[in-house]
Amino acid sequence: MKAMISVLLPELVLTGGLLISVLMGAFASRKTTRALTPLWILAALLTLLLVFYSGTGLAASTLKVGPFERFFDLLFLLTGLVGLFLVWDALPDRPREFEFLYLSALIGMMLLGKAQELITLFFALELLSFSFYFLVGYTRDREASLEGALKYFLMGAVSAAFFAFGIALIYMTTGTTVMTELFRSGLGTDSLTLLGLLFLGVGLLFKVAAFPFQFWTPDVYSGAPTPVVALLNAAPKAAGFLALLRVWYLLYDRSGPHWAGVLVWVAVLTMFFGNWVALRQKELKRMLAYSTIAHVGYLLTALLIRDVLALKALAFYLTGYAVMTLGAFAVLQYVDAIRPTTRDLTGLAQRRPLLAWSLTLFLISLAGIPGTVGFATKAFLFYGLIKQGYITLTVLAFLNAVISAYYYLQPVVAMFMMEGDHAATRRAEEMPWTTSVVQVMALLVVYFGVFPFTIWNFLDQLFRRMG
Amino acid sequence: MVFWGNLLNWVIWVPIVAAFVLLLIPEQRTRFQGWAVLAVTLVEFFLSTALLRAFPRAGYAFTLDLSWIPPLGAGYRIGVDGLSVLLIVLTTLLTFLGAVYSREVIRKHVRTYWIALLLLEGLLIGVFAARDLLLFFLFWEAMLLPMFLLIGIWGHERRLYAAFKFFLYTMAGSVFLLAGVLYLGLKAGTFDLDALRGVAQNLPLHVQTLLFLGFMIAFAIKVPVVPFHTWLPDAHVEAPTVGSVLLAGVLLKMGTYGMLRFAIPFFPSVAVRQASLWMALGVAGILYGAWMSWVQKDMKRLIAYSSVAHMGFILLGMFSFTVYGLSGGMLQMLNHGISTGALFFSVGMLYERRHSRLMEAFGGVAREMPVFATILGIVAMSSLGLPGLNGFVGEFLSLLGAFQRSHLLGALGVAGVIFAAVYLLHMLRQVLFLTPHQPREPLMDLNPREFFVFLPLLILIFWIGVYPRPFLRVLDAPVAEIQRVIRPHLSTSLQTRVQEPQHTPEVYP
Repeated sequence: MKAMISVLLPELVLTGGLLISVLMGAFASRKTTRALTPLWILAALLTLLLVFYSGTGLAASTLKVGPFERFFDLLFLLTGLVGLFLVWDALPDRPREFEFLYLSALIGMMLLGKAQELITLFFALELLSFSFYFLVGYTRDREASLEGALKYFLMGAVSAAFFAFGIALIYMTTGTTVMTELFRSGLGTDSLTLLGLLFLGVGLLFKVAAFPFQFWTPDVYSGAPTPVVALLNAAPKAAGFLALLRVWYLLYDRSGPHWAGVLVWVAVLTMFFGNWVALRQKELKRMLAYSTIAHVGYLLTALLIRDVLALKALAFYLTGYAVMTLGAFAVLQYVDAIRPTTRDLTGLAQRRPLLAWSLTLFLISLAGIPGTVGFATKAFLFYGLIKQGYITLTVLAFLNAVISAYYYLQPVVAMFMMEGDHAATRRAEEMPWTTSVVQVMALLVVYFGVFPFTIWNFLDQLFRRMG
Repeated sequence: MVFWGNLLNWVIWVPIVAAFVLLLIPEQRTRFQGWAVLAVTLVEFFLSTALLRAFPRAGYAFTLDLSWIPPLGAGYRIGVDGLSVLLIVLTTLLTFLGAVYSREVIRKHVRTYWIALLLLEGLLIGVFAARDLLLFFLFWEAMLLPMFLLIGIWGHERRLYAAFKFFLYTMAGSVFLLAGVLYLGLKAGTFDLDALRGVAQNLPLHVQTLLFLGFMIAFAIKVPVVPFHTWLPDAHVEAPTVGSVLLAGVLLKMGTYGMLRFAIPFFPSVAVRQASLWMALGVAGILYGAWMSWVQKDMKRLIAYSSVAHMGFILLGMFSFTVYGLSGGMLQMLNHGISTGALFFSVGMLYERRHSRLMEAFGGVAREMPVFATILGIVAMSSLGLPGLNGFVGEFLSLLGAFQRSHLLGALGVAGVIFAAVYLLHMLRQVLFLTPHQPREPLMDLNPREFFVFLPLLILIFWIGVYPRPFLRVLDAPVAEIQRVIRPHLSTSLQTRVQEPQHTPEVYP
C-alpha cells in the first residue's frame, strides 16, 4: 500500500487539488474561485516536483511507472502549467468548473500514459476525453464551439465503442486484460484477439487524429477556446501515443511485419492528407489542426522503430512539438478575433516585431527548418527510421515537410510582406503571462534546436536514476 | 576556452549574435542600426581576412571539435582550408559592401532587413566552415529563411512568387541530401567529414551512386546546373539588389562548394564515372545561359542567366579533375562572386535612378554617368573574360582542364566565352552608348558611397587578373587534396594526362 502511494503520489496530489476545486465550486462565489488560479498553478508545480521524488514500479499491476512514464508526467504537467497561464490571460470569465475539468484532464493523461491494463486504459482515456468534451464546448454561446464539442463527443463515443469492443474480444479469447500477461503468455494469435487489438488501435487512432479518423480535428480546433486547443494539441496526443505504442507492440508481437505495412500506409496517408488540406486553409486554427494531422503522420512512423530509439525519438518529438505549438497558440491568443485568419496577422511585424519573429520561429520549427527544435526532433526520428531501413518512407516524410513549408510560411508572408495593418492585437498589458509564455517557448525552440542533446541527456538521467 | 579562442568561431557567430542583439534595439533608431550593422560587417570582414594569414598551407586551419549530439556522433566541428577561407572572405566582403549600399536604399522594415542580412552572413560562413555533415546541413538549410525574407519583403513586383519558388525548390532539393546525410551518418556512426570519407568509399557501388546523386541534386539545384535552374532567374530578378548580389555572389557557390567538399571526395569512383555527364551539363549551362542572356530585355534577368553560364564553366573545370580545371573552377567561384556581384550592384544603381531594369529605358548613360560607365565597362569585361582581368584566369584554366579531358566539350566551352562577349557587349551598347529614343531626365553619376562599393571589387578584378598567384597558391592544397582522392579511380591513360603539372599551374610568371 505504501509503495503504491509513493508511486501514485503526483496523481494523488492532483486529485486533492481537484476535490478542493469541486468544493470551492459549490460554496465559494464566482469571483473567489477565479482568484484562485494561482492555487491550481501551485498544485501543478507541486506535482511537478513530486514527480522527481516519487517511486517507480507497478501499482496493483495495472499501472506501470518507469522513467519513461515519469518523463511524460513532466511533459503533461509542464504543458498543463503553461496552459493554465494561457487560461488565466485569455478566459477571465470562465465558469467555476473549468479548473476542475482541467485538472481531471491532466490526471487522465497521466494515468493513460501508465496504464498496463486495458480497463484502466479505457478509464483513463474516458476521463481525459470527458474533461475535454466540456472544455472544448465551454463557450456555450458560440455555435462553432458547440459544433466542435458535439463532433468531438460523437467521434469520441464511437472510438470509445471501438475500444470497449476490442477489450471485450481480447478478454473473451485470452481471459485477461493485463498487458504484461498478454505479452508473457503469447496468448491469442487467433483472429479474434487480433481483431480486438485492431479495434483498440482504431480507438486510439481516433484519439490521436490519424487518417482516416481525423475529421473531428479542424472543427474542434476552430471552435474551442485557444488555450484549450493549446493543451488539447500537445498533451493528450502524447498520452495517446504512449497507449498506442503499447497496443502496437502487442499487435506487432503477434502478426508482425504485415501490420507494419499497414502502419506505413496509415502514416503516409495521414501526413499527405494533413499537409494537402492545410495548404488551402486561411483560418489559422484550422491550418494548425491539419498540420497536427500531418505531425501525427510523422509520429506514427516512430512506432516502426523496433528499438529503444523509438521511445526516445517519440519522447523528444512530442516534447518539441508541445513547445512549438504552445508558443504558436500563445501568439494566436493575441489576435483579437474569434477565428483568426492569416489576414488578421497583416502588419504584425511592424506593430509587434518580437511577437512576429516568435511566431515565425514557431512556424519554421513546425516546418522543420534547422536551428529549431522542429528540425532536431525530425532528424532524430528519421535517423531511427533510416536505421530501420525505411528509406523511401523517410524521403516521403521529408517531401511532406517541403509541402508543409508552403502553408507555414503564409502567416510569415502576412506578417512581414503584406501592405497594410489589419493586425487586431490585444495589448501586451492585457496578457502578461501570454507574453512570457511566448518568449520562453521561443527561447526553448532555439535552445532545443541548437542543443537537442539536453532533452536526450535528461531522459538518460531519468533512466539511470529510476533504473 | 577552446570555444572562445577560435577565430573562425568568432567569424561565424558575431553576425548571428549581432542579429539577435539588433532585435532589442528600438525599431525607430534606424540611423544607429545602420551604423551598428556597418561596424559589425566591417569588423567581420577584417576578422575574416585575419583567417587568410594562416594560408597557404595544407589541411585545415582554425579547427575546433566539440561534442554536440553524442548519440548520433554529430559534433561541432569547424575548420577552413584554402577554398573555404576565400569563400568566407568573399561573403564578408560582399555583405559589408551590401551594408554600405543598403544604408541609403532600404526604406521599409529597416531593422528586419539588417537582421536578415546579418543572419544570412553568419549562416553562409557556417556553411563554408562546417567540418561536420550534420552541422553543414544545419547551416545550409537554415539559410533559407533570411533569404526568403530578403526576397519576399524588399523584392520587386513578383517577389512572393519568387521567394516561395526559391524556398520550396531548394528545400525539395535538400530532401535527398538530408536522407543521404542521415544514411551516411548512420553507417559511420559519426558525421565527421574525415571519418565519413573512409566509410562512404567502401559502400557498395550502387549505394554510392544513389547517395552521390542525392547529394548532387541538392547541390545542382543550388548551383544551378541546367535542368534545375528555373528558380534562379525569378529569384535573382525579384530579389532586392543586395539579395541578388549575395545570391549570385555567394549562395550559388554553396552548390559547387558542396560538390567539391562532399560529393566528390565521398564518392570519388562514382564522380569519375559520371564526370563526362556533369561536364556535359556544365557545357549545356554555358550555352543555354548564354543563349537565354542574349534574348533578355531585363538587365537583371540577363545577368541572372549569365550566372548560369558562368557556373557552367566552374562545373566544367571541376569535373575535368585536372589540376588546371580544378584550380580554374575554384578561382572562378571567387571571380564570379566578384564580377557578378559588381554587375548586380550596377543594375541596382541604375534602377535606383530610373526605376526600370529594362535596357531600352536607358541609353547614352556613358555621357551622363562617365564614372559609372567606365566601371560597368570594366566589370562587364571581367565577366566576359577579357585577358588581364580576373574572369579570364578562371575561365582559361577551367577550359584548359576541360581540353585535357575532352576536346569537344572544351571547344563548346570556348564557344561560350564568345557568346558571353556577345550578350554583355550587347548590354553595354544598349545601356551606355545608344542614344535614347526620346529625351529623358539626365542621370546623376555615382556618389562617393556608390563608388566606394565598387572600389574593392575593382581592385580585386585587376589584382586577380594580373597577379593571380597568391590566390592560386591558397587554392593549391585543396586542389591537391581532391587530386589525391580522385587519382586512384582514374584510368591509367587519364592519370598521366591529369597528372602533368606537379605544382601549381603558373600561367603567369
